[in-house]
Amino acid sequence: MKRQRKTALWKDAFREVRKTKSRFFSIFLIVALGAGFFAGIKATGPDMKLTGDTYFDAQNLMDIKALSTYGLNEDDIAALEADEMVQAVEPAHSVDTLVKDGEKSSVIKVLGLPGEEGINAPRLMEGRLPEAENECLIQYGGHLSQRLQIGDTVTLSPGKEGEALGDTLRESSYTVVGIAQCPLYITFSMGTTSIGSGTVDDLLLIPDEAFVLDYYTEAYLTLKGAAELDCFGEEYDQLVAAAKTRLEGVGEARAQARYDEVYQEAAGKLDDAQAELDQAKADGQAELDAAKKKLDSAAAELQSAKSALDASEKKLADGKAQIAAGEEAIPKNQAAFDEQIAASQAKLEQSRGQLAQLEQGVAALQGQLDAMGDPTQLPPQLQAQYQALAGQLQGMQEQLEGGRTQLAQGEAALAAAKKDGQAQLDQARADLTKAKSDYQQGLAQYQSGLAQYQQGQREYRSGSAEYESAKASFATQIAEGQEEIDENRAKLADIALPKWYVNDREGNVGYSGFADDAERIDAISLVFPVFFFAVAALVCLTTMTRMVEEQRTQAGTVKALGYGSGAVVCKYLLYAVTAAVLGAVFGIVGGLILFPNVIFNAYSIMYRMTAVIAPIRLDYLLWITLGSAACAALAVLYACAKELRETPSQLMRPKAPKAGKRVLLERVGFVWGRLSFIGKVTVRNLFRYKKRIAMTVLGIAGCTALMMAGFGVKDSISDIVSIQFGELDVYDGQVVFDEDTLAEDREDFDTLLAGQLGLGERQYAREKSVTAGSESRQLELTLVVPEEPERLGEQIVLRTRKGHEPIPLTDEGAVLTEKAASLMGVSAGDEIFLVADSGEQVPVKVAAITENYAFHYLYLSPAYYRQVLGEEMRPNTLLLKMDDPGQAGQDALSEALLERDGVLMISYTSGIKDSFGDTVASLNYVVLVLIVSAGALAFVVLYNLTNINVAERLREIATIKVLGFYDKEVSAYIFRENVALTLMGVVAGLLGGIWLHRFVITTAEIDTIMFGRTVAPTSYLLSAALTILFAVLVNLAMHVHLKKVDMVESLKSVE
Amino acid sequence: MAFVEFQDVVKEYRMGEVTIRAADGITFSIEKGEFCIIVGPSGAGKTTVLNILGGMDSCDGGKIWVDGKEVSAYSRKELITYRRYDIGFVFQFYNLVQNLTAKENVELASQICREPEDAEEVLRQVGLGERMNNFPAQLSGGEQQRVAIARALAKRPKLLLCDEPTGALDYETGKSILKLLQDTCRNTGTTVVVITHNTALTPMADRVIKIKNSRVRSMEKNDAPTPVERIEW
Repeated sequence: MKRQRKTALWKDAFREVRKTKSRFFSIFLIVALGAGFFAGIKATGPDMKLTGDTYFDAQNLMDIKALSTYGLNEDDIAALEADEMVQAVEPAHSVDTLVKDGEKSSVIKVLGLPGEEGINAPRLMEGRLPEAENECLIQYGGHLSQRLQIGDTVTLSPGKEGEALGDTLRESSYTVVGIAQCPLYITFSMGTTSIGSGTVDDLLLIPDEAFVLDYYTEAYLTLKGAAELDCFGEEYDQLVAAAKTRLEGVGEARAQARYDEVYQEAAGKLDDAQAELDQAKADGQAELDAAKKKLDSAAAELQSAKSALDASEKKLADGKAQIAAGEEAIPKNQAAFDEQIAASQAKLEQSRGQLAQLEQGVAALQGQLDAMGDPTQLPPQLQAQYQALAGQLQGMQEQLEGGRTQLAQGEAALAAAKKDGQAQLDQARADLTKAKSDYQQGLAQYQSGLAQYQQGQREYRSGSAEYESAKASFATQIAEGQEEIDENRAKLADIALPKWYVNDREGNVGYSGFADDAERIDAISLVFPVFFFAVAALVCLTTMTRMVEEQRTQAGTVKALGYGSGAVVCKYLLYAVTAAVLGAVFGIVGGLILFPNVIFNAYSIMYRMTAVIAPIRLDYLLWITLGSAACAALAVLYACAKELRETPSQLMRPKAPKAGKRVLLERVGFVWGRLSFIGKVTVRNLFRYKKRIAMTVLGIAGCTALMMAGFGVKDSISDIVSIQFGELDVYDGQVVFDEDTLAEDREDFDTLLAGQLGLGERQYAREKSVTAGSESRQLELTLVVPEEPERLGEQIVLRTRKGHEPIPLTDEGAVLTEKAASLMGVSAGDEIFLVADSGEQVPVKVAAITENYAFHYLYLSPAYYRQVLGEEMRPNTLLLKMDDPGQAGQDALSEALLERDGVLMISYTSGIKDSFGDTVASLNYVVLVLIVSAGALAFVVLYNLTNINVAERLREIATIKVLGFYDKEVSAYIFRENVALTLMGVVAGLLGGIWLHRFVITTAEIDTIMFGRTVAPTSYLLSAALTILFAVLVNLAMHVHLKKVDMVESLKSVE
Repeated sequence: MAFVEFQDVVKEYRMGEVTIRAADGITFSIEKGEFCIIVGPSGAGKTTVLNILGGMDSCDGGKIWVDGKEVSAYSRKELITYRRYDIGFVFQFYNLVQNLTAKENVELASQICREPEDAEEVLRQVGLGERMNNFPAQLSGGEQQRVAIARALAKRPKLLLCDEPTGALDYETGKSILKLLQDTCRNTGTTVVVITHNTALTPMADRVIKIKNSRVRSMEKNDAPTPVERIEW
């Protein structure tokens, strides 16, 4: 029995569906739309992440990248491998090179292909993997792929003049054998470089063996258990953070070890060099000494030769003199001899005379003595006299004797002397003759000796000169060698501790951008779909209310027949829930496929990845379907609630038509009087069905608001580009210097820049990343200290967002950017702190808040900087404007500056602008999706509500048709209300849109970006216009529908 | 030619596979200024006649002339114009626009006419001078039907068609409505066609057309109609 009863009701319900196809369909459609959008948008973020995760896992993308300022050696790799969290380590090489294409050259990053570990495996799109060392892969959709094809050859040049490619790479030309995606670079931005234009343009993948470096430039690591995790998830982040900390520890240890190694090696080399030098010095010295000795002995020999020569010369001279003297002396001697002989003879004669005198004397005396007699008889006195005379006589006798001897002697001597002198003279003559011949001989000897000596002397001189020069050059050589060694020894102290960098995937620009984009979609999915769902639920409610009202008689009858209220509700529940479930399933499946694909497709402009993986997420299907069903059921219950309280008899009586009422406006005679009759009817009708009006207005407002939020989001993001880089950051380029080099070579740079054509206003500044914070929040922000704050406006405009009042940068306090201020919860006049290099927190007064959209900045005047940080401002950056901020101007500037030491980087705002532009372009698609969806929703809502409006007033419409209203007039009669409702909805929607837009952008905004807060007037206009367009379309559809309304309806009794 | 001429009018309705002939060669004529009652049992085809005569539906065969014009040849648009200027319609359930006051309901019709009666004047004529600013919900059934009649009359129609005008009214009120219709016919010279299943009303008509099984069974001219007051049913 019971079963049968139920069957009848089920039959009724299903017949009802067939009978009221359009109503069923409208619930189906609106739920499909709402649930589909909800599911689709909600799934897009997760799908993007899933796609990314799957792709990264498939290509075995590194979890960690380790590099060191020294490069990595086998020991480093081994140390990394030894860590227990590490799954695998892939040592790799890379180098930035130039590829010339005519006049232009582009910067190409050359990467070694992964080896056995296969980390960062390229995804081959075309061709094959390189097999030989001169084969390469180019990047899919990259710069090179635009002009190279498989089979072409690409030739690399070194990045800097004076460098040889051969130091790094075995080959300089590579044949393209394939086109691939590199998972390391999912965006088109490949980072900066110190060569060429400063921006990496494309990649080239070559076999790692083609590198000749004896160290690895980087190492890619995968972590144990990481591939299993969702790489965008919390767990993965935690795993990576833990591993990063550990590996940083490994890095520090290895850095020290490596430093020691390098230091030892260098020191050892120096020691060797010193030893070698010392040896060389000793050897050289010994050689020199030997040479010197030889020279000295040669000199001594020469000296002795010289003295011998001198002696012989003297001797010769003596000889010559002697000869001369001899020649002169001989006749003289002869004469003297002759004279002497003569003198001696004369003397002898004299002596003979004297002797003769003496003999007379003696004889005289003897006579005297004999005269005196015997001396003994003589008196004493005569005795004495005698005695004396005797003595005298004796003496005289003796004298005579002597004289006689003497004379004999003299005669003998004379004879001897005569003989002797003659002999002597003869001898002298002979001697002279001999001496003369000796002299001649000696002279000849001397002359040859002299010649020999002179030869020896010359030889000695040249030997000596040789020695001197050898000595000098040896000395300089040794000195130079020593100097070199000393210099290197000094440099030894300069050897820096190698620095290790352990980066995770977040360090990869493309990767983090992708994650951000997925997050942004997630944020959008927080708001928009909910809105959709709400509107869908609203429409569902209206439709079901109408249905329940239409069938109140039948409900009454069924109740009168004895069915319970439950049975009545059951039918509507069945109806609505069936429609909702079918719609939800259909919509969700469609949405899960459509939205991720469309949005991801939009993002594929920016990302190189696989096609989106958009699975039918059963959990979404289940809970969104359940949610939709629940909404539909609630709508039915709400709609039925009133009816169910009424008795069957009440229900079976036709519901009294809603009584007409005067509206408030009628009391305002001034306005009412001016309204046309139809206008009055419209106004009154509008206020007659308040609930429906509310729903219609709400529905339309919702759609307008959605569209406006969509357009507004686009505006807001566009603002970042147009305002940030068009109005605020008016500089075109930024040159980053090494601050020490800049301090030293400032004038050089100034001259260089002054000579560079096409540069506009510029000034030096200090830019530095610092941590700043308030009580509530700490942030990374960039400190900007312009040298001449009064001229800052030429490069960076500081102004209030509202009113655009310029903000001066004074010495009284700092100027903080808006987003940073709001994140830190501070306003002008508050104090924040900076973390100084010492780690100390120094207070900074925020003097004003400036409009800013991208990144966070804190502007300080040099004086205030000094006051706050207690140090002089040292510029490290040049902000400059360019007459030609285009590619040509940039290339010229880059070329001129990058060659210089101390220029670390040049960046151009146009580059940042472009990358933001790409984001905006892809967001445009997302916004388009939103707008189309909102439009579809608007259409369905309007159609549905208008349909209900018509259905409710079918009789009235039939009547006025009978009265002879033309089709247009009939439509106008209804549409005036629609137009009014649409206009009200649009106005409400625009107001709501402002709020929704604000909500969306503050939700979707990431920390470093502030979206524009204002919606462009065109966006207001467009969303209003589109809503009105949809309304017009609906009305056109309704017009057709109205034409078909049968006038016979007017004859029917009121049901 | 009579003011209204029906000649062999055929109307067929297709209900799925079944074709129902709702008018099977109906022929009659009504003279100008007559008070005509078309009578017949439910389903006889009188409503079909009314629809076709009122320009709400077209016929599948035969010819219809009204005031010398061939209505059966009218296009959809011409039919609307015909309804607009030539026909006044009074429904069984009044079909007033609930959201408009009595006067406004009349104006709804008079606004689209070339030379309408003054709405207030017509309402006074039907005896609702005091209630013209009331909404239908504030009026009794009879009063509402009066408004409906006023609305029809305000257009100065050539033909006033009334579909069971008393069907939803009690006896007395019904009588007074019929009186109003008869008076209108007499006083303004409007041709009035009343459709009813109630044969008791026939004596008050100038002409009675009886319809049964989609055909005209008889057409009688009554030269001395009975005033409504004297009719009992």
